[in-house]
Amino acid sequence: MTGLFDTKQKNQQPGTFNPIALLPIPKSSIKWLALSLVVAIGWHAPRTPIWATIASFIMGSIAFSLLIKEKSLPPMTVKLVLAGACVIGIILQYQSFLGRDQGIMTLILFSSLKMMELQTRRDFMILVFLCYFLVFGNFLFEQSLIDLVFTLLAAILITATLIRLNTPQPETGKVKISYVMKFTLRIFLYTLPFTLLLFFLFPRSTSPLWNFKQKELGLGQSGFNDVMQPGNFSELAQSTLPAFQVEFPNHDMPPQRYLYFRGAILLFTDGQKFYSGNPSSQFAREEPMTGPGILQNIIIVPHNQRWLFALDCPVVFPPFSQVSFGNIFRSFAPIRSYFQYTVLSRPDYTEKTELTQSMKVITLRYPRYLTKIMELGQEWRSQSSSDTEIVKMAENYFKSSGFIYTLRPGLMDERNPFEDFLFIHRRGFCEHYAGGFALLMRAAGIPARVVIGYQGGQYNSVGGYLQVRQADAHAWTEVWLQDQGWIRVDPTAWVSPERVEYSLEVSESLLSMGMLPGSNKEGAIQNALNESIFEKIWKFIKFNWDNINYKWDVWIMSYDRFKQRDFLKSLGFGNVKRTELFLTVIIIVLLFFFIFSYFLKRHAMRTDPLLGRYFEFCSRLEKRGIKRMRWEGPVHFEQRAVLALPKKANEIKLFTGLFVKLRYGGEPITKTRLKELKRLSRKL
Amino acid sequence: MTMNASYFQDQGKTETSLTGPGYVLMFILIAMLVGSINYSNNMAYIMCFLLTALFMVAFLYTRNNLKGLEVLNIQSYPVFAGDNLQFSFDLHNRTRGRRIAVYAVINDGYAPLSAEDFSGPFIVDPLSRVTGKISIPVPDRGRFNLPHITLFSVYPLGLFQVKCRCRIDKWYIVYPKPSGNMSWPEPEIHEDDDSEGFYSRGGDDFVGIRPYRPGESQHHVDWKAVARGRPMSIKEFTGGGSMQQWFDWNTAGSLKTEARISQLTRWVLEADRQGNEFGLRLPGHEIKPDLSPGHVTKCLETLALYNFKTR
Repeated sequence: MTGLFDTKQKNQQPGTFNPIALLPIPKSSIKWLALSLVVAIGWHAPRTPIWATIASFIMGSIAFSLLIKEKSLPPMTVKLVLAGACVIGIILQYQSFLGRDQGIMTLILFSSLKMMELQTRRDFMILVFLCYFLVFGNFLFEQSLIDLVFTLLAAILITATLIRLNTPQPETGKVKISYVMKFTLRIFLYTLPFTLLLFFLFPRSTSPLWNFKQKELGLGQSGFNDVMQPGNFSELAQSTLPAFQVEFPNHDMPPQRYLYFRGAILLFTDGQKFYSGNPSSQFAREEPMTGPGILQNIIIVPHNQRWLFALDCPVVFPPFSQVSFGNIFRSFAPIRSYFQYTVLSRPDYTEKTELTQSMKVITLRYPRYLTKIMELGQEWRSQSSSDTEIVKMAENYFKSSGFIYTLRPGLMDERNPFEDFLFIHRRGFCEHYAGGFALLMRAAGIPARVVIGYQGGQYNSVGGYLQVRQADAHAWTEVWLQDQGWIRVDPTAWVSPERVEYSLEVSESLLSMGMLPGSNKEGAIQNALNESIFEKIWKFIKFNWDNINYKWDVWIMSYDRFKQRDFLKSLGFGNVKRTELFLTVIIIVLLFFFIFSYFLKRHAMRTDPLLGRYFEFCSRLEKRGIKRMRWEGPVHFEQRAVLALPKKANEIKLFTGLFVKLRYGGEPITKTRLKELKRLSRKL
Repeated sequence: MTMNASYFQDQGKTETSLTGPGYVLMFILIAMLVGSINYSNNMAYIMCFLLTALFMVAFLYTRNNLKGLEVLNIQSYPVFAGDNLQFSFDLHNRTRGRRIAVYAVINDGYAPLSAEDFSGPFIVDPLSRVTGKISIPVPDRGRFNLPHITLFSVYPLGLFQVKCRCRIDKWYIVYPKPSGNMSWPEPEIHEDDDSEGFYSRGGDDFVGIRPYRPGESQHHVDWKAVARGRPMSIKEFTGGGSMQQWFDWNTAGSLKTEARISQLTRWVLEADRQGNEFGLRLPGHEIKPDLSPGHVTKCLETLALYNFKTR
């Protein structure tokens, strides 16, 4: 094996034994390292500024070609200048050094810089560890199953790099890739039980070790906002990211039109947007309602907010949530990891509560500059005798005035979007309808509020759960009717019943066909619902894949303190304290480690069968008081043993004779001969 | 095939410890764990625990990588001070597992470890042996002990190193460095010396014939007899006086001890190359003239050990 670098000048202090710095670096392991770096950095490329990726690629490939050609690496000044340029680049990009994105970018740039000073094994291994850390850093952004698969493959590659570094070239031929990979895979197989043990038993906490600012984390995910402004839902409607998944353990899948998942109530408006304000506890929690209950197990995708969602209208809440007015509940801490909660809802609720005075004032308030809305609302009020009738009139208004439900409503007048929508444009998405309707109701003197959440979702028949995506985000309205309480009214359903009856997909395909209300909708819906064979296959693959992801979320992603407790309970260890659990983990892992170590050692110590027989022979003689000296050869020992044990002289002589013949005479060692040896030594 | 007692020697205790990079990875693992707890990120936990497990498995693999290895057949070759001492040794694997990337290091701990002390990496296949060589520079003459060879390995991941000191208790002699440019001292005349193997001048009395001993000077071989197909034999003469070549401490000039020894060494080597018979006289030692094979070695060893204090 040729060493790449001259390590002669790297002498060490006398008395220290630290040989690793002196070992050579095989040239082809540099190629493995380069590949590992490309994989580790490449996976980050989509979210890293493009210049950083290109810069690190250029620096890395220059260093790589110099290393391969065994030319001298760039001098210190060049490296310092490059490092300074990287620091300036990072500061210009992010203005600060703290934070997840900056951290990853720093690692990317400095790993390629480090490549330029790859001289000893220590440098090599530091680079390998940087690769590990970059791959690990990937989980701060994405946590899907695909990412885990990628990470595993990357970890295998990086570990193979380390193994390649340490594998010497045999006298004949090269180090085979297949050999390195096989060995790596075997090592990974052995790590599996330890990894699983640690994963399931390592005590989980609910609170972080220290608090960090959300901005630093950069976890602000697209999704829900507690301000409803015309335009922000149609943005969401284009996002296919999952929001949450729901299982109905004691109930069939409810019909699509019931699938209203409540998220937040928006009471306040300034005429341009609706917002929740500060949902203080001054409003009493509304009374529990009657009606059949539907239990839901919901797994929520982390969104770094406190939102929790449940089918309209939740009545029994998970224990760690904070309930506020309008049957809305929030998690105590921002949701930073996947987790599962159970909630009970009553879809056919009737609410028997009084509207408090303060709530009434708030839910009737609207800006007075909305004169057209005020006129229309007051007109309806004067024409009708009851609130129910007013709602009916509004329904007629929306159905008959040529309103169009569309993802691309165009821009409304910024200062007065709702009047622009209601009286001029008449093209809108759910937030336009919900907001416009709520303002009209308030103008007509009916308390109204906007509810935002999700509606619909896709039922996965393979896994038996409902997949709700960001695109299913929806806004609707609740009005207060005397003797009925808060009643859900969804004006979008008047304009586009398909949106609520089917799914967004169907209504989207209608929209894309340019269907106008009143034309032949039935045929179009049938068309949209009919699937070709390819669509069916596609759906089959997609459902299965989604289901795997879902199970992954259920079993692994949302594994937390509570699930850990349940898991331990199912194993028969209820009420384990954290410290106890911690000690148990250590003990179990150590135990496992020692058992494993024993077997591995035994495997490594598998000796020569011939020597094994001889050792057995010696130990039998030792029991009879004849101990072989360490320096004693078999023939010498034989002579001594024969003298000390003349009765067994024949066996001893036969055994030793055969042993010497096999061991030193070059005769083939066969099974029958080994058996013969065993038989002879047994006779002692 | 000869019997070799060290076949049954047990190996010394192996010692496994973290390497420098191993410590670095340990800190990285702790950082990863803190990160995973803080973000309560299950994927991060998996990665962190995977690497932890890798760390543990690497420990076991490295620890077992010297199991069943023994150092045998240590041979050193003659060396003069200032040259490199060459060792060869056999690494024998008596287990049925492969031992990969094993290095042998000879370093007594008095000198800093350097790349020259290493031999390897060796791949020792199951139940087989490989031969390794180590050369170490030897500046001084004398007799030295080779207390141990350290076997070590960082295979497979370089996170841990395992080492094992194999006691070998072998000494080697470094001959003095030949130097000096004085000419040979005059041969001495010995009247009544009847020792064998001297050579004489002039036509003296023929005594008889004895068989030729390998390594002897061929001056007095009875070539005529050889030509007739007889075995090589030596014609022996005797006479009233004979000349003997002696290399004496006192004839080596007024030089200092080391320089005298170097001069004597040079003479000895020259005489050996030319096939001359010679004797060596040092204060307290006298080696009579001889032509037997061990003679030169004996002279060189005497010179090497003259006034030498073992460490």
